[in-house]
Amino acid sequence: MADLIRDTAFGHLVRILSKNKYLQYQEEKDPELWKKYVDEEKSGRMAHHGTVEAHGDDSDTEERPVYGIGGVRTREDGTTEPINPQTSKPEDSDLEKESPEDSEHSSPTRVDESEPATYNEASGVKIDPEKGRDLNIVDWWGPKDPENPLNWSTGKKFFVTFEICLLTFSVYIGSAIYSAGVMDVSRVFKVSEVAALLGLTLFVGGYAVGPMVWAPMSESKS
Amino acid sequence: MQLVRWCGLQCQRVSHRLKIKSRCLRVARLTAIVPQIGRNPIYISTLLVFVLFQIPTALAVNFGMLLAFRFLTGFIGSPCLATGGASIADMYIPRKRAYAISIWGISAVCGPVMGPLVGGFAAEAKGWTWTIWELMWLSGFCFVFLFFFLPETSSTNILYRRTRRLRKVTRNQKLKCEPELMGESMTGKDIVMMTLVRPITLNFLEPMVFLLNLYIALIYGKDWRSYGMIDPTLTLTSSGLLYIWFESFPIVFTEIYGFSLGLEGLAFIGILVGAFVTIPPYFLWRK
Repeated sequence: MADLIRDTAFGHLVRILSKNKYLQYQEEKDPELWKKYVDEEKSGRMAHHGTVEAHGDDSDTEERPVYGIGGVRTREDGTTEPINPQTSKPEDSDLEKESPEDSEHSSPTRVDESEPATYNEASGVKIDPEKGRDLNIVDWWGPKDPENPLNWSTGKKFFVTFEICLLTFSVYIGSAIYSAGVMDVSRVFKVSEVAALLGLTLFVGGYAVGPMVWAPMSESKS
Repeated sequence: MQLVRWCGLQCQRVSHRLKIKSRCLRVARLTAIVPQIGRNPIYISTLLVFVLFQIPTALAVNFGMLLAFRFLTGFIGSPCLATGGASIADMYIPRKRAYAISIWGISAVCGPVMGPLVGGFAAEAKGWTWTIWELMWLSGFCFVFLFFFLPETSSTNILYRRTRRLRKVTRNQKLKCEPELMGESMTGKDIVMMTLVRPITLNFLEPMVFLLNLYIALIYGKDWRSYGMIDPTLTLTSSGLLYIWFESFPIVFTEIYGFSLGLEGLAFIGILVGAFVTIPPYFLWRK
């Protein structure tokens, strides 16, 4: 139940008012959980290619040494040294030893691997100086992550579907509910029935015009 | 005189239908703000304003005020409808989406159908203001219910919020999520292409059914072929034909058969029954 309420408008209000004391998320209770959420593969691709999408063949040309995804470091001489990213780095000091934000603008000469700053923390992949970016990509921790709406329980999905249906119903009903009162409107305001029907037409007109205005507003915001 | 009246009604009906059609194609652009803001703030804020705007609608002192507020309430209510289908699509895998959307389509049909039903009895007993009050009660209840119980359904926003929390808790600024990166990489030109050029080019396609499929596809964003469903109830709802047909009910039932206003509303239930009847064969066909 707390899971359901936590992400609602009411839940957010409670969190804001109580300064995150009530209805906490898992990662707030246990800060070390951030490692679970970081996707090593995507971070590796980010460091090497500058994008997270899979490229056809990740083991590259002869110019660059083969690197491994998921905690494998490469040296300049091409030998590889498997390192477990969870245990090799002391957690707190890593957060201090952050690479400069413009690591992708570093000089094109190879930096040797004794400087940990040029390796992506999450995946152990060397950061490409031209296009790589040193980021730890946060993602679902696996295919069964319950925060992912696709993995919600059936009951929760049906409940939320019911809520959306209720919402749609109560807004859609607004158009037709007025049509029963058209005769009364034309009597009270002394207009013809066709004019009174405008109440219905304009309501639906509002539906049409709405997105035209909301959309550009949303773009300028982002 | 009768002819003039009939012509006036026809013009209104046609413009009505055109408006529904244009609405369908523009809703897609609301999806752009979802990663950063999420769907919930849109629902809750617009629904609150929708509820509050019913008050001046019902208490309108002149006809102009009534029409203005009717337009405004429709305007404010449009984001709810636009993102409703997208919320449902968020929750179900593509294979199962058709079932969920068809159920949602039933509720979309229920709206215009139950309207005359609910409003008919109210208008008969208490006058037109009570149709608006009833709308306010219903949407007010819906607002309270959703305020307490509707979670965020957009996966991009959930990920984005998680990343923000992690950045705050670990103070590691290098944590980012894909939706953020996509948002950063979209240039102004991309946004313009996505929001203005595409809907307009699609606007010239016919028939209505194909438009609806694209409407659904645009809201859900990606490979429309994987959705590939044309829900019959949704088709009917979004077609102006439904509303045009509704206008004939007073003529047939009240003038010819002598139904009272409330009873005329009951005549609409047949449409609802029809919508329910189409669902089982549709589900079987999907299998």
